[in-house]
Amino acid sequence: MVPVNILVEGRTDEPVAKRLLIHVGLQVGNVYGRSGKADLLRRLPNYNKAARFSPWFVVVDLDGDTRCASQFVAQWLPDPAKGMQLRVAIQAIESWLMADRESLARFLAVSSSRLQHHTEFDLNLKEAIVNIARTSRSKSIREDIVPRQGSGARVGPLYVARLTEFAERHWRPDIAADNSESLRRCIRALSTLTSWDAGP
Amino acid sequence: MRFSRIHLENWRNFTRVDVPLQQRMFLVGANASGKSNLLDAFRFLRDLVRVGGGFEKAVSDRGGVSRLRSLAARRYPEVVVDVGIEDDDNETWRYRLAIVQDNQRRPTVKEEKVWKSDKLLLERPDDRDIDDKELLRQTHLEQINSNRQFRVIADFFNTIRYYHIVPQLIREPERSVGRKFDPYGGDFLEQIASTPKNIYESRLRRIQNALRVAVPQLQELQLYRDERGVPHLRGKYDHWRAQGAWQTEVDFSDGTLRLMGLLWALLDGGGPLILEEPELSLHSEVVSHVPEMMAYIQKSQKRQARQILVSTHSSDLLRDEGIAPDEVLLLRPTPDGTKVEVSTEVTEIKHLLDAGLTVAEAVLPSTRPPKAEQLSFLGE
Repeated sequence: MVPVNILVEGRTDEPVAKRLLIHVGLQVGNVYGRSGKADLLRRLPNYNKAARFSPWFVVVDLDGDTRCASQFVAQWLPDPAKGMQLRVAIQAIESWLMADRESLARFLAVSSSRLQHHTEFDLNLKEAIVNIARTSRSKSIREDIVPRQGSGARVGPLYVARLTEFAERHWRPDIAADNSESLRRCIRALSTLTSWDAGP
Repeated sequence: MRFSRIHLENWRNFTRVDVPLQQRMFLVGANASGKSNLLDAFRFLRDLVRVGGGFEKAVSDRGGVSRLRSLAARRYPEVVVDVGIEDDDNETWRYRLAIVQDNQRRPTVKEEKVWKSDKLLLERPDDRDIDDKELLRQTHLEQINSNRQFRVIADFFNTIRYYHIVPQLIREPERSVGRKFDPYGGDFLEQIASTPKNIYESRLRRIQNALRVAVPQLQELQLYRDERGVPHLRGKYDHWRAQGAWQTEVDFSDGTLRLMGLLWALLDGGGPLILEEPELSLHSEVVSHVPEMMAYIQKSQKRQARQILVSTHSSDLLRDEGIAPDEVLLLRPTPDGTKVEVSTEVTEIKHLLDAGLTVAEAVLPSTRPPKAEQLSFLGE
């Protein structure tokens, strides 16, 4: 089985992408990018060239870009190579995590009703997660995820580590896919990479 | 307990420093901007109180008052170190020491004050000092028979630790000769070995777990003593031989030793920890996890978490989103001595941070030497 390389915007996206590959039965290759969206999009043509010879899984946040996902892809990747799977999370990968409401609520030690009214179309999801964590019954979660008052930080000191922990150990992609159209499509598309071969 | 504030006057290359301090602080600045000098002020406080230390030694070890005093010092010749401290019960303390030299160039206390909350517990020079000037050659802080009311401060300063493991030193056979509590690691292994066995074993286990992530071929880590009783570390690595092979610290890479030293330093003790450039010799991916590693360990400490003060050049380290802007001190040389500011105090940086940029993106560019590109031509 050929390992699938991953290209993502940031550190919190990486464990999600890895879980999804494993979920559909693919092997995880190396992880690239993690220098932000602008950098990823600028380098996308280069990665696309490499994707002629090996499979690549690229995930980008739509982030309120006015175009819909397919228009976004058409604009940034007019000529996708054979192995290139560019998927768009609406509005951001955090929404895929939040789509598994029960598991995230349990992890954050909040009632699942806190996660109910967040939809795929909310912007600033990072802020939403921080605000939900403020109500956590767990002091540990609050200390890790909520930034110290007046510090100027947007997230707490162990935000990335905790989200990574959730994505790696507690998140259920199949359950989350029931609540997220963009995730559903992503999983469907990834399944096509399982029959990858390097031929023309 | 932790430092809540530091105020310096005429200390080395600083005319004036006055900044608040958080549980973690990252000092950033160009080469030779004075990061080590600023951290040295904390090491000075420890030298005042440690066994075999004291005011006179602390100053003379630094080359005397003239060497210690900022070259940019103008009107007021005294060197001042003034720190705010917060303890576990939210009680605030303050210690102020002003240093001059007498006609024979000997270090002399110009002023020494201690406050608890806002109550002045000590104010020198006092009548006894005026009566006998020789008393001003020592601080009250360092003397057990004078510091009773604020001994907790002296004890606190005594818990300050500075670690800067030099891997080459650990690998030398005569590394610990003449060295005790060496911050450079000369007696690092001896220190591990002299920690109670159950403690060092549990720490080594934790270090082993962390190391196995950074160095996946490392299976096991142990401490043992050779025939002469000299302690050594050994690691078992995946090897083509079925049983794996043991290597001692002599064979460990620089990065492995630096990472071990960093982890031991983080796990050891409860007082303020001073680290310089923890990124040295480490892979950028490992470095990017250091801030969270620190936060994680601080969290797991039973009573108040240990304060960590770090100097760094690394954008991999500073890219961590969990680093708050008020945890970053920016050092910038000016003709009037180096200026030290919390990153949010610099307007331009504040705007960038408010706009959503990370600390690495917003702060590091101001630390660059202005004509760095000329280095490619050696400045020729």
